[in-house]
Amino acid sequence: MELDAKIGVLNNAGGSSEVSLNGIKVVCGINGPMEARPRQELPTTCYLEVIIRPAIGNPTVREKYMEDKIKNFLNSVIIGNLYPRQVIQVNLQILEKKNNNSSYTSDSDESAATEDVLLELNCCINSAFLALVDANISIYKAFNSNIFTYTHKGSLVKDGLSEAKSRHLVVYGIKNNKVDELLYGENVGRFSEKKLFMALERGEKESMILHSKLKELSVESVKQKFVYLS
Amino acid sequence: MSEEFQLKPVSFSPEVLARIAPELSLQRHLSVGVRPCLRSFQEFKSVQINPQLDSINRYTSNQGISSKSTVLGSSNIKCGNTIIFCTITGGFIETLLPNDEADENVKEYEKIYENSEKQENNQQDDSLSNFRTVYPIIEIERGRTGAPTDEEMIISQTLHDTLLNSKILPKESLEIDLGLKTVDKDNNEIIIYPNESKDIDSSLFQFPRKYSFVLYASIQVFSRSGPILDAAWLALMIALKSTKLPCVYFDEKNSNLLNDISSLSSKKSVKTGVVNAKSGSQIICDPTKSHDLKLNNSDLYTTTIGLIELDKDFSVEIEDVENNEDFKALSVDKHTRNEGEPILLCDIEGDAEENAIGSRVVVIPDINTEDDDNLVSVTIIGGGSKVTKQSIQNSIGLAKLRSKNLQQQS
Repeated sequence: MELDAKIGVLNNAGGSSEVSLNGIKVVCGINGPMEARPRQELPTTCYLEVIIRPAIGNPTVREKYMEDKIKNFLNSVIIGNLYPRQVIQVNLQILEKKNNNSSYTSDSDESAATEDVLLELNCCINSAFLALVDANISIYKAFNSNIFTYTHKGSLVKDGLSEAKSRHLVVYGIKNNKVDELLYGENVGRFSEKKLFMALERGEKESMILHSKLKELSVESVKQKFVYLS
Repeated sequence: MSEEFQLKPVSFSPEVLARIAPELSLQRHLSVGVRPCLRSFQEFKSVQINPQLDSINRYTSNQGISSKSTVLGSSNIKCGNTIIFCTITGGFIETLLPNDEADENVKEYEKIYENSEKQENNQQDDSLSNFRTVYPIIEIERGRTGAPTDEEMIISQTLHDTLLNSKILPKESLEIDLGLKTVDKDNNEIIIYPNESKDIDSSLFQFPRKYSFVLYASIQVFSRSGPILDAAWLALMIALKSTKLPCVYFDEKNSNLLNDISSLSSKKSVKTGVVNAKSGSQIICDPTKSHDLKLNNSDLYTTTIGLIELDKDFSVEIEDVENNEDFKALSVDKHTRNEGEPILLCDIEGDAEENAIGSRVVVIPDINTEDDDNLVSVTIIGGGSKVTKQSIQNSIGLAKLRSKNLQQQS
């Protein structure tokens, strides 16, 4: 499904974005850099706080788990030493989750919740990137996330179908218009080593395509922000 | 004012340096070919799987002897200096049916049930909704109590999701085949189960409701010295392997079956889908009889490997490392690595390694399958040193080796 994104949707946040992808809609707001509470303060770098709120209900352990996944690589992307003793807060609110599951039992809900982790992460990561750009936070490299699935027949398809043999979420960092490094990869299901690397290679290509799209959007937003310069 | 200002070098003990400058401490160690924990680069922690204590479990291995314990399975492992206990407990729930489709009529109700079963069978066998998981609670002892830490929450969710995604616990394993407690011709109380008595009319076992087990795992970790996902997963796997589920029966004497069925027909009880107190109490776990929990595959092991690049700026100059007796044995690893490739460190341990290693690869290989698709999960966390294709391949190789090793041990 095509990515649909907007930048600067929240007026009071430092930076914000709204992304809908694969039936999931996420709004991301960035607050900071701002003063840290004494407990969070790090002397040489910034403290990164990622908060995910689900579409329905209160955040649970599942959201904590997703926050951790995002925090892991985001820490290395943000140039932390520019913001010592400060906090950068990344708030991600999942707005919509298309439930294509018509089943009714509680246990299929549960497996769907686990299945959706990757789809939600995918959307959150792309949204976080746009919001970081909007918030003028210095980053070492751009990044974006793509999701791929192997069907039962063995073909590699972009975007996540629930009926799949394996699913691969790949996040690449992009520097100077070139794929720089693999920031995060989550691969679940049944797959071989060869298939894993094929998915990673495909991820490299697709992330360049997605990057040019996100870049267009962010260039537009920067232009609008600094309109007095031109 | 002629006092001369001198900058005196400060020295710290290794433990202090590891905490205040983990990167420096680790790099200095690695540059001479040794890790802060004194293991070599690709040496795993020793794992000791202790025999489980029969006194903890409700159903012991030699069947029959039962205790008042509610523990269905347990494990006790030691990984390096870390000790992990895992106990499995359980409960059962009524299998939920669609509310709006249920009718007052019991026959109608059964028809819907059959239909829904058919529908489910039509679904693909490896759809995730045909598998179950356990609900783990993990406690890492650090001398204080309170709300669970982030790490505890994240690991318990990781265990939960990984177990579901690896599809080793099929739905059928947790379904309950209700037995019946009744009286025979001579008025003796007997308990009969559908799977063990072929000569008994199967219509006896047609209960209006279906139940299935839910499993909980409580994992306690003592003296943690590094990331504990691998050890916690191992403890969970071994505990699940030893888990025995009780046989469950319906007590005919204490209830009126007809009454129960008629209570079902009242619209309210069907709509709410809740076991009412009366019918719930008639379902009893057999004190002596149990069966093993069936797992699709019990030889899955997670392996976490840290990746770090050597930074020449931090290296320590030791004269003639090659010929120094103390370092001779340790410097082997240095030469087996290609230039520019990160060093792989197995079983991250200690402050320096934990804080300085940014990139990690977590692999779960399936070593039992002949199939080409022999990987269940690969998680790559980048951000530290660059994760190269070569290092992912090597990590997968190491994980397979480690899994085979653990398989032999358990």
